Amino acid sequence: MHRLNKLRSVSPAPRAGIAKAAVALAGALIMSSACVTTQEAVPEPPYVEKLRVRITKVRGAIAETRSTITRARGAKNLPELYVRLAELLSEEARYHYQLAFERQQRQNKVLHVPQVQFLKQQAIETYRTVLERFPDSPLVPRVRFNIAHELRELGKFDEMRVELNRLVAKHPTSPLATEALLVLGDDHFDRSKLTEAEKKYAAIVNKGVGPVAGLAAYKLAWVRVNQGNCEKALSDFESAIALATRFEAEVRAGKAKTNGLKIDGKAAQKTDGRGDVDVRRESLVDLTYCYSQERKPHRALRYFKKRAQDRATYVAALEKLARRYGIMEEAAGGAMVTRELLALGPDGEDRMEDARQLYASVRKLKSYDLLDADIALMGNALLRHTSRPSVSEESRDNLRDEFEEAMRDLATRAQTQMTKTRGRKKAKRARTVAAAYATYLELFPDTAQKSDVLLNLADTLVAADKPFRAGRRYHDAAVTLLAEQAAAKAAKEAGPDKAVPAKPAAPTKEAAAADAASAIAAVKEGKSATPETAQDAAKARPSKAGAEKPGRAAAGANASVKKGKTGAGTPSDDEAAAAAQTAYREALYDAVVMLQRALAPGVRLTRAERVEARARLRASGGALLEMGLKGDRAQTVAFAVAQTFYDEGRYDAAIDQLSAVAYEWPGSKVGDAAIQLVLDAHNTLNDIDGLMAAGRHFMAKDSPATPALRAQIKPILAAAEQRKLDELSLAAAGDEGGDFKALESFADRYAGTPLGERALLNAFVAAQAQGNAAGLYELGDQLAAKYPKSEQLPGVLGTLGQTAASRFEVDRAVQFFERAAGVDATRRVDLLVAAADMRRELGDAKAAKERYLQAIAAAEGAAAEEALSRLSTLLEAENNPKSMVETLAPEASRLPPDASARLGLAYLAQNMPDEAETALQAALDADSAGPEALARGHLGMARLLVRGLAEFDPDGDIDAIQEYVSLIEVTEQTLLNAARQGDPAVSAVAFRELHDLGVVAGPRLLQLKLPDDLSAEEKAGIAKAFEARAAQLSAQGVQAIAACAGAAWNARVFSPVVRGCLAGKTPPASLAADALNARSPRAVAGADTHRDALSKNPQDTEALSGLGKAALEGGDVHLARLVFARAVGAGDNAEAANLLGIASLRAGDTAGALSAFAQAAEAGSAAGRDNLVHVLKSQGVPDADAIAKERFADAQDDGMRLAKETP
Amino acid sequence: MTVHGSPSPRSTRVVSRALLAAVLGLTFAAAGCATHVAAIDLRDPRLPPAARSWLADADDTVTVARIGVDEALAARAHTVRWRSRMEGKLEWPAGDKASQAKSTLAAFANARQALSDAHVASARAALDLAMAKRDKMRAETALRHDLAVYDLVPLRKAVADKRAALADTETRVADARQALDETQAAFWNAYGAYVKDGGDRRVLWREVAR
Repeated sequence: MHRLNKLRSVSPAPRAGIAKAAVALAGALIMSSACVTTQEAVPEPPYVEKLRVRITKVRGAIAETRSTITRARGAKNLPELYVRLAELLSEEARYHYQLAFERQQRQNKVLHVPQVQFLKQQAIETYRTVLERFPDSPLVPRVRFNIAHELRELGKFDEMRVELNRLVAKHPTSPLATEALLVLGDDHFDRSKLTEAEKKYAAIVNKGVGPVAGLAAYKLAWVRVNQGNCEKALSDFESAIALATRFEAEVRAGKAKTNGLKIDGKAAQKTDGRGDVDVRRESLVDLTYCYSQERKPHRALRYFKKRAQDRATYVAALEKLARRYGIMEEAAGGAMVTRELLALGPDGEDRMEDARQLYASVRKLKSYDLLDADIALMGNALLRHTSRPSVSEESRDNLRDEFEEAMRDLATRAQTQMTKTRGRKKAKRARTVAAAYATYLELFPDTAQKSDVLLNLADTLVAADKPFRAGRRYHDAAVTLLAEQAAAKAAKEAGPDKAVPAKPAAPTKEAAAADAASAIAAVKEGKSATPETAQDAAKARPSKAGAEKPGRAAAGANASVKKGKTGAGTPSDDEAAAAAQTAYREALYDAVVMLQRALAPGVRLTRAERVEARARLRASGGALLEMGLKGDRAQTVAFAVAQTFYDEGRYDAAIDQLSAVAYEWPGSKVGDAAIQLVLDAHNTLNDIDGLMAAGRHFMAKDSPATPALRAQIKPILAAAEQRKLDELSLAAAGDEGGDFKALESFADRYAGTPLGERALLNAFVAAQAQGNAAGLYELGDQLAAKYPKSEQLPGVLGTLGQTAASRFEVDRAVQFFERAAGVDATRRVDLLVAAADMRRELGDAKAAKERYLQAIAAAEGAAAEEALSRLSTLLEAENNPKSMVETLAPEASRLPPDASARLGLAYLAQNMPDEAETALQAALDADSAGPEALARGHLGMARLLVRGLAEFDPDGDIDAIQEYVSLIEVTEQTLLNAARQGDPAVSAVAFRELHDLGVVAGPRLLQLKLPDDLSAEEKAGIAKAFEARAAQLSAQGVQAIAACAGAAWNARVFSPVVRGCLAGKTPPASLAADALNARSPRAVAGADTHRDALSKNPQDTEALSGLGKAALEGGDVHLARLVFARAVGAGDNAEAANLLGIASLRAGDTAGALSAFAQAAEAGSAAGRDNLVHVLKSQGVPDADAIAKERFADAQDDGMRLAKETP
Repeated sequence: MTVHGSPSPRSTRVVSRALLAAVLGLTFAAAGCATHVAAIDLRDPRLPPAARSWLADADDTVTVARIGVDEALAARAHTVRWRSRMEGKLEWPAGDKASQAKSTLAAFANARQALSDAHVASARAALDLAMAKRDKMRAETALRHDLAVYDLVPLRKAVADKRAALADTETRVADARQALDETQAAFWNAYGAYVKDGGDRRVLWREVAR
């Protein structure tokens, strides 16, 4: 804080001092820097000074050389010293000349310089001294060559020629001889003495490869050119190139020397004083003239490329050739060469010239097969050139304008030509033109002709069979046209002062017609329009995608025709606006048509292209429709737009828009197609409800669908309804089901139809699966009422019967079974038997018998066996043999074994032994005979035997006596056999009758009259045996009663005969059963809950017990009896069995009651045991208590007990 | 600092907080009366594969139901936008036929909106049911494998209640569907009559262009 305060306490004065010090320091630095002397720029010494210095130096050298010569008299190198002196003099002369030239500001090369002449003269004299004094010196050729050189510079050409000819003549092998020939050739050439020059050059060339051979050939070629012999000139140029090439190769290989000439890697050769000359380049460039004269242009590129050593040479030659062709108006060659130049040449103004020439050539040729490449070449050249900083803005704009028009002109001309062609060629040309237009638009995106060019491009793409790209361009054109209209309108509103010149409107249908008329008129009048363009215009057709149209936005003369500017006059603003509007609409429509075609099946588009196509189609079509499009076009566009939604998977929107199409053009082809797509959209959405609703709607009276389509919709609707039903059924049967109301509603909606029937059936099935009995009965009733002829009705009623039976709704069950039997022929017997069984259990034996008889009457063949068996059982239980015989005798041929046996017993009871024996034997002989049949069969046979025994009288005949005894034995065995068959009821009766056999047959044996011829002893023996047998029979009879009673405990059979045996009596040997009391149905309170539980689980012991008790308490003992019987079967033994016994007792089924009590007692129920004892006592069984206590000692005290109830 | 006999602001705050806590506690306690079923870790080693499968299936069902709610909401939002366009932006001309078409379109739009609402309600009911069933499944699994003890009665009741609620919403969907069918048919008939009478066909297409 203190430090801070201290700092803060610093007064402004010191801070000002610091600032001032800083300023002072800066000033000092600046001043000190100012004191430093700046470095003065020292220019290079002028060339004149340099020349003077050189003159001084060379003079020094001349003086020194002369001094040396003076001292070297007689020396070997004296010739060299003279030559060197002469060269130095010549050098000084050259410097003086250059000095004078500089002084003349390099304005004039023809100078009068006395020093030069003097010095050169001195040099010549010095050379001649050498020639005179040293004629054999190897330097002689050089000396002569130099003399000639100096003479030439002094203008003494005659002397020069003499000297050079002398050199050639005297030193033909010297390299300088060749040089001399070259100089001589040049000299003759300069004097137009071409023949002499030709000889000199030819002499060099004839020597073969050498340093100047190529150059000589080159010069020789020029001689030929000047002689007008281009054929030979071309050959000589080629030789020059070849010789120069070979010489360079030899130099590189070390086989030749350059003699001081430069080889710069490009075979440069030096000429005499004319600087470095690239012979090959010069030859190639210079031969272009003769090539254009002598050779066909189509091989030019290959020719020049082959002979050019590098690109620069090639380009240089082509540039010259291009100009040459231009002059010659050789369009094909010009186009070819300029294309190559535009591709390979360096940027620059030359390329612009090439582009212009290319344009002119192509236009002249009228061959546009390479137009796309040409436009690209021209465009690239233009871009490269105008991108150079050195090109001014004005030049740039001019060039752009120039080439914009040129390219447009070519493209439109090409398009016009394309429209005249057919087939594949047309498509190919269209692709080329389209590419050209595309390049044009890339180069000039803001061109005033953009909309027209876009339309042209779209037209060509149509011709090229590129619908997507065509549609895209039409749409672009429409957008551009709209923007142009807006701009024109804005300009008009802004007033004439600010108005921007609107571009001429694109030709329209009307404008095109006007164009054509004006063009034809112009042709007739001999004006600017050519017949060709007039025909093009005459072919103008209304805008329609796919139609051939001449190019719009044509440039130049082309434009004058296309734009209708010639003779037609300038259209008014309103006309222009109307035309623009028409063009806009046409473009939109064409876009729709093309994009629709592009989206058609089979057209290959990328995913992105499809998306774009749909979006553009919708935009174009929407704009068209918004404009109030009418007629066929309107429906085409509307459908196409709506279809885009469908194709994009936007089905909701598709349904709405397609429906709009259908209602806007009802009864039309488009309307039908829209309806089909609407239905398909619903189907794709899995919107079955929507599909059904739409289907019904389109099938209605006022539907927009045609009759033919309605016929197609009908099965679709049916399938949808079926599918809906299936889905509802599935839902009703599923985990979340439980509500078949939807199915019921569906059935109501389709009442009286197969679908309604099916819905009701499915609802029925769903209700059954849910255990909804109330629903089941209701649906069953509905089905029976609404569809009485339904094939499923019997099954439904049968199911209802079974359901009711399982729920112990016995009356309802009987009704359903009987109703089902009435409608189901195939199951009638089974259903009637089921109904009869139930009626019998309910104590209505009479009705049961009727149902059995109905079943028997309805059955055919073996199908009646079950009913016959049940009926025979019923009649046996009633102990009504007369009825049995009356009922079953007519059915003897199809009686099952048990029924046949019962019939046999009935016959016996009716005293019809023969019929009985037949029936009994049939039962015994049957392969399918079961215990019931066999037991009764044997019992019947035993009874027949008993009848035989009763009627048999041996009358003292020993054989007859033996037979009688045997007969007793057989009867006894037959009864035992009947008892052994496994039918407890029959067994009891058989034992009961065995007792009778003992009672009757034993005393009868003792009373038999023995034969008289037997001795007393024999008679005594027989009597004793008979006594023993009688005793045995008697004892067996007692045992048989016990065995009869034993059936109660062994098999829990308490039939009347068994009960008699238990009571120690001899009851009637009958198979009759207890007759059930008549039932009086009563409402059972609380039964529904138990029944619902049983609907879900028929073995629900809790529900069974509850229902049984409720029935018992309600007084419906027959029902209780049935319920408890199932409860016992389901495993609920003790209590249920006891209650079953009580219910059975009250229903009149004493045997059943005793059996149930016994079962309850066995299961440990004290109540069951007590009830058993109670009933047995009432049946006269004296020792029931003892028996029960002995048999059921462990019984527990539980359950319901009978008080005073007796059977 | 504290004046005896009058509660200080601090003590007032304490009392208020205590009361709030009590209310919240009672609220949570009341909420706790409903059976809360804890989630079961599927990786619990005491669970057999079958139990894990059941639990995972229950979770899946909830997830699917949530997606169903999202989809129904999205569809309803779409319908709301469509209805807005249909009712607010269409330019019907004057005339009886146009007026009829316009009014039936409004009814059609309302019906479509009602169906969307019904679908949302149904989807939410399905989600509620799926969650109730998952709770029941978790509770049963926990009991079956001695993981926890729950009273299944309220859980079963919850499932039954949610199932009934779902059935109600499905009835509502069916009713809305029928209403939509009727209003849709009425609109298209009216529109067909309108067009037949020479009405401006651009009405339903302007929106497409925009």
